[in-house]
Amino acid sequence: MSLRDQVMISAMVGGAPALEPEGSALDSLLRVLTQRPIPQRTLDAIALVTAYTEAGLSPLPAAQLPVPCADDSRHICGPSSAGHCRELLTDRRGLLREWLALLNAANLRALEELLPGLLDAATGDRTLRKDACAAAGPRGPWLAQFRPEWLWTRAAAADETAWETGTQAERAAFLEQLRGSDPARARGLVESTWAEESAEGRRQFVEALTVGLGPEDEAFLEKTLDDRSVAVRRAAAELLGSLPDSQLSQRMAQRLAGRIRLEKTGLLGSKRVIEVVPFEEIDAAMVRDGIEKKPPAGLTVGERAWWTEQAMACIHPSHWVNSLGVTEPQLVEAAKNGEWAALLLEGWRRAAIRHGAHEWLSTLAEQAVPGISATAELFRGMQPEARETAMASWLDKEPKAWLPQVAICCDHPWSLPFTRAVLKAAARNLPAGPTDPFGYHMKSLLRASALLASTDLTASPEGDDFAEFTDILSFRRGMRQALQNQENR
Amino acid sequence: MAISVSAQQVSALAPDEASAKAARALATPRPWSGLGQDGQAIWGACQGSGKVPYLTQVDWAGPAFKCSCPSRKFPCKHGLALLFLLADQPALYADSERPPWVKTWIESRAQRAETQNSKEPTQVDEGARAKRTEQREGRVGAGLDLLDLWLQDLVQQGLASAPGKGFPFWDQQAARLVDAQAPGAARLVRELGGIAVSGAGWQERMVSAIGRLVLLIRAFRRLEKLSPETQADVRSTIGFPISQDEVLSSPAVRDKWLVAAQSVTQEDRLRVQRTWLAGRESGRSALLLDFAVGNAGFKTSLIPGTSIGAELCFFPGAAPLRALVKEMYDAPSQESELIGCQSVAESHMQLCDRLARNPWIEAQPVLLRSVVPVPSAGVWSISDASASMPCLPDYALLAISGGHPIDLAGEWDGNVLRPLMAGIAGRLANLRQAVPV
Repeated sequence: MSLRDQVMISAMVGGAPALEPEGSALDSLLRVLTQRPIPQRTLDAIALVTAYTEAGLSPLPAAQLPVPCADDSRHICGPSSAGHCRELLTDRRGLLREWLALLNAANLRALEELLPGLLDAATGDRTLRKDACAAAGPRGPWLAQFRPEWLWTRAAAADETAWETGTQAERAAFLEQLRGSDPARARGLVESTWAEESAEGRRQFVEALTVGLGPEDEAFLEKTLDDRSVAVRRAAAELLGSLPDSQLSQRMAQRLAGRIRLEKTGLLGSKRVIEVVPFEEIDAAMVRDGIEKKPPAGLTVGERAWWTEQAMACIHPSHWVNSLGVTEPQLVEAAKNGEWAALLLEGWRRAAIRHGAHEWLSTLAEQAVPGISATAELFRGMQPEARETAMASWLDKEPKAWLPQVAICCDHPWSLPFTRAVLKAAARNLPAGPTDPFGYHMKSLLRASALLASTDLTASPEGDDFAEFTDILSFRRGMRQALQNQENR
Repeated sequence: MAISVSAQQVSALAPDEASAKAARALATPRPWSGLGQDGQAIWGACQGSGKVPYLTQVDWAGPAFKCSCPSRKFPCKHGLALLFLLADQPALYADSERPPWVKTWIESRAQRAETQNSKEPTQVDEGARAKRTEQREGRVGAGLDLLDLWLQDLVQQGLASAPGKGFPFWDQQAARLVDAQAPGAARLVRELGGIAVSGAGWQERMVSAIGRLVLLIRAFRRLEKLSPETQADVRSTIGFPISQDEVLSSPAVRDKWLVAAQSVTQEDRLRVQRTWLAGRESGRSALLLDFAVGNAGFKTSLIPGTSIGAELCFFPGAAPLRALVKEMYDAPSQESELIGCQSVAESHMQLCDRLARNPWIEAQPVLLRSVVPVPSAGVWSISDASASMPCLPDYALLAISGGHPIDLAGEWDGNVLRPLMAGIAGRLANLRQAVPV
């Protein structure tokens, strides 16, 4: 036993260490110690032996060095951008997405020491992952081998081995990526292992087909409507319902044939009205096509109307313009003249969002009610320009009702004219005083607006209400300039 | 000559996050007028909410800040903003003649430094002082004798029972040492309480901490037989004060000092800043300690990653590290590379050598070229081809390295290395500034 071990043991359990000489320079000193009374001898031995051994320790052997990370040929972002990024990570998280996008657009990479912060931020917020991954470059997956929380970075760099040996999440991520470049091949991979996949895996893979969805996917999805798992069937029906002219969509149109009719009413028959004959019952074929029997809890709608609405949602809304022979606004007007307005507008709304029917979305936006999630969905389905037009017109008409909705409905980078329109509406509707309940809405509106407003805005409105807005906007302008300057150099 | 600073370096000078943020908001050209610099100082007037703009100035020697605003934060946001703006848009600061208000301040600072340097030692009653020292030594001796008995008792019971003792057990003995005017020894005893509950490996740490205490007791008993350097180490470990005048009267070491790393630790409301310097010519390492209470800023605001021409005076000791700045003779300049040992083994030798000279040494600097941080199974280390050293997990450091060799400056606490600054590809990265994970 080494001297140090002897000392350790006697110190731990009490009693005197034996102090066997070990042929070191300590031996002669230890011989002196053995003359001393026991508790002192123990202490002296502890002091001598620990000081002696600690000052003479050999260094630890070399560690197994990791395989170095591949080089990243992009230029590193400059010191002001690094400063911005630091601030974003500590207390301006809301701007991280924009900064990452700008960084990637400028083809720069983030300062290495900031990567852990960026990767952690993106671990907590999935929507940042794609941009964070690009910003990190090869360092991302390299670092992930030492921190499993960051393994998602490998998905972006995934190759076909990820499909064969990766985790469920890695495989789904790989699939989504492959769909972007080679949708047919991705579908082929899904079909090749279909029988061995778990229900959850099958659902994820069907959902991955959302990327690059096209008519070629229909045959596979149609088959999937007979899957064992209800979640898989639902996912397949959802995709088929968004494929224009799919067989499922045509079946729905046949089911609804004659049930939605344009009629004339009023004294001279000058008024159009839409009459609806909802489904009386639901059959097995409808269930197979994804129609759910029970409306979700909290939705106050009759079962029959619910089935009808779901069927409408699977049909491209231009179908009604063609089959009934009037324009979108006329259809909406006719729907509102009858007693089925709610059902029809909701059916068209869902169909329009699903199929990206821009004319319809704009028409429906004119009927939108502020403050409900259906309205936000509708706006988000629209093209930015159309959104801004629709919102600007609402802000003109009912500013107080729509101001709190602006950032929720228009969550894209705003154009300069729209930014000015929002600020004008805000400046005209400032809260009356500290007790005005509208003050709360205004504060959160301006805070959210500052993240979306155009940085080309040269003069923001004066006044305390706009101080935070101005501060955030000037920070954004600074971070843009810093990255653009570097890009130009 | 213009001095360049980075926003990162300026952030490091801020007393807290809020100040840095407020200063950043002010770092736009709009509120400023009369911006200028002359190599020694930079200045400007900042329009606040009042009528009269605040006059803000920074002397690079230090750097030292002065501002006419009423803020109690130091440095205030205006001083920091002046530097942030310099970092962003140096072109705004024309080389120009000092305005009178800057001139007055810089001159008064120079004068103060002068008087401090040439101050006649105040006349003290040598006899009374010797008597006070003798009394104190008597009390300390008695206190250490009691500590000896207490420790004998402890090891006779066996240290295995230590983790169950609870903090009051250790704190009481520490309090007795404070009464005996041995605050340094008291702190070492209080630390035993922490070690006892520090988890895996506590036994080794406990035995080695007790070993140091015993060595201290024995050394103090035969103090006059030890070398003057070791006497100084014993006295400072026990907590005898040493006057700054005494330190400053020792021969100074003149060198170009690289500000290699900086760390701040919190002890209750007291914050302790350790700044590690490395002499380019002398090859010596030095430690500057600074203390701040609550929200106050630190007095010395050396910027890691710069270097300063200065004369340092070292506190006496067998392995002297702690030093005072006697004189700074030019403004800091930006550095892009670390200096240090060529291998882990050499650095390890240096640590052991200082420990052999001064067994009570606590923090030591580690400066290394070309090492790779290696995280493996929860135990991190830095390694080269032939040896390694345990280090604290640091993902920023790992990201900087990416498996490639880097230069490193850090602090060794006797068990593990705390990385503080990394150098790679002609760039220095202050790890304290990275957002912690």
